[in-house]
Amino acid sequence: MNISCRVGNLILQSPFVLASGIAGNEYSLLLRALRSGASAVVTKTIFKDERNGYLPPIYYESPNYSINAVGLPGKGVYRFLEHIRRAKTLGKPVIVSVGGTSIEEYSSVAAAVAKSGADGVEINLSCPHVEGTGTEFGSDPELVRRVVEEVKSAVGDKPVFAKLTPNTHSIEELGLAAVEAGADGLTAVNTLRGMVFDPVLEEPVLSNVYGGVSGRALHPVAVYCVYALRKALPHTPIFGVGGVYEVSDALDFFLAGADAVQVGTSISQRGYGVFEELKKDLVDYLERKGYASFEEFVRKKRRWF
Amino acid sequence: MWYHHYRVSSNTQLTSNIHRVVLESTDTPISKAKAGEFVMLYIPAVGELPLSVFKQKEEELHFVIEDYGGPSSRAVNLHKGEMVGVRGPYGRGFTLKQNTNYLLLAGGSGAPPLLKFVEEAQSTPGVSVTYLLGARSASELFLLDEARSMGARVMVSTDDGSMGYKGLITQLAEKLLSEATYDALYACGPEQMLLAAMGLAKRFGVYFEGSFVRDVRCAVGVCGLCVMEGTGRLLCVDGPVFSLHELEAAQHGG
Repeated sequence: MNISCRVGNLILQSPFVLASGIAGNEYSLLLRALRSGASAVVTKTIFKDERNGYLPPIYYESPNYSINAVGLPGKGVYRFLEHIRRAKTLGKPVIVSVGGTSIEEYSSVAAAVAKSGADGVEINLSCPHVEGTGTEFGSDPELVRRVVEEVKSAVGDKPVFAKLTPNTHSIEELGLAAVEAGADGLTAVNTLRGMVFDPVLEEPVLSNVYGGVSGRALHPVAVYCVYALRKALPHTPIFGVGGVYEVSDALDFFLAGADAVQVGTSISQRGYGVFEELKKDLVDYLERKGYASFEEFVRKKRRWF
Repeated sequence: MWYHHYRVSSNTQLTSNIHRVVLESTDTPISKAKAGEFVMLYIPAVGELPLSVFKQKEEELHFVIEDYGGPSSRAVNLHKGEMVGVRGPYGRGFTLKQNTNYLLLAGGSGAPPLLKFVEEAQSTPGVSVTYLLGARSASELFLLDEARSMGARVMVSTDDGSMGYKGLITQLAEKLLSEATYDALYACGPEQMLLAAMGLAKRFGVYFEGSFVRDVRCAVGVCGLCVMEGTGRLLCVDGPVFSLHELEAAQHGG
């Protein structure tokens, strides 16, 4: 069974990609994800300078969701470039997530990683503070447009994906802004802002007090976002991301219009072995339903579009 | 259940910067930890820190905590009655096999997991344990009677010679390895000491496991920050105890 797929000009051996934020900034962990069956990896978000992130507690998990506020720690772009080169040795796409606290930072980081061999750039558009605006960057279509334009012109022919936030009244507006500004594809979605307390200790469970919700609770929200984007943008490559634990979760995204999915939070429970399991279960599903390939399944006309 | 809640029941100072802290469960206690496995201790308004489990009874958890700055400075000052959260146990601990002659190297605050190992080894057939504790000076040594009472042969090294062997713990270990045969060398302590112990194990052809330290934050394998560089292994889920073999794959990018 052929489960390869195309997301823009990226050719993937399966529609299961490692989501950003999981494998740190270290080539050996990116290689582990790829050797474990991920068809591509998205790195943790890279900024120009080193960032420490937040101190623990930075992560909390319940059966229904995870919430994190890790604070985007990283070694800074120049120390990361060597890791891109080393992660590429398996010949699978390495997509670098880029961040910035200014438009210039986004574009200079993107230019550097593209030059060092990144196969694509995913723009993390959920940074809380930028140029002193104090609002969430990625929920302003005008700022999204400006960042995507600058990044696209900085990376040449490398594909650019805009990773969108669900913390908005209209994700279509953000997606349209990104695509009009030159984004080659979209990643939907980043985490939902949330907050959790421990009632015995009477304390927030994150040192940052609030954070981003992922996992099962994010899943139906993310699936809807993909659907809304697909309706507005019938031909734009889209990665679905949010609460993929089982193949049925991935199928939700494909039925809603995603070309491939990214897997993150479920790794805490299922480890990197989740990729091989998802691939096997997808093949079983497609065979059982009589599809000739994954491509045939996703290209089928759906009445909800 | 993410946080299991505990109340501090005692805090005893062992050396100038090392305390023994005992917690008592107020709801469901965490499940049984093996020697070398760790938990995350949440001190409200202070933060979380990874701690190796030293002793565990039904409702009780014992830790030996060193003040190394950050939340650990607060942890050594926990007072009776304070409420804390504990999650875990996490990771993989030391392997314990029957009919084995173990040489354990504990560098300073690296003692707790190895003392727990001594306790587990007590009831394992055919096991003999030599426990070495190294420190700068006699005033920094602790819980030696604890190890003796559990049947270990105990030896100490101090940099200044104020007690036991004068020199580094790895020098004492080298001496012992050249005098007698051991099946396995287990170590916990500063990284420099671990690497030296690993070198000894290689030289003498002895099986090695060491408990390492990295930047543990999520403890469940999703933040990626505790990676053992070059190995693709995460300290929080694949460690904190690694064998020589697991770490050597490191150099080859394995």
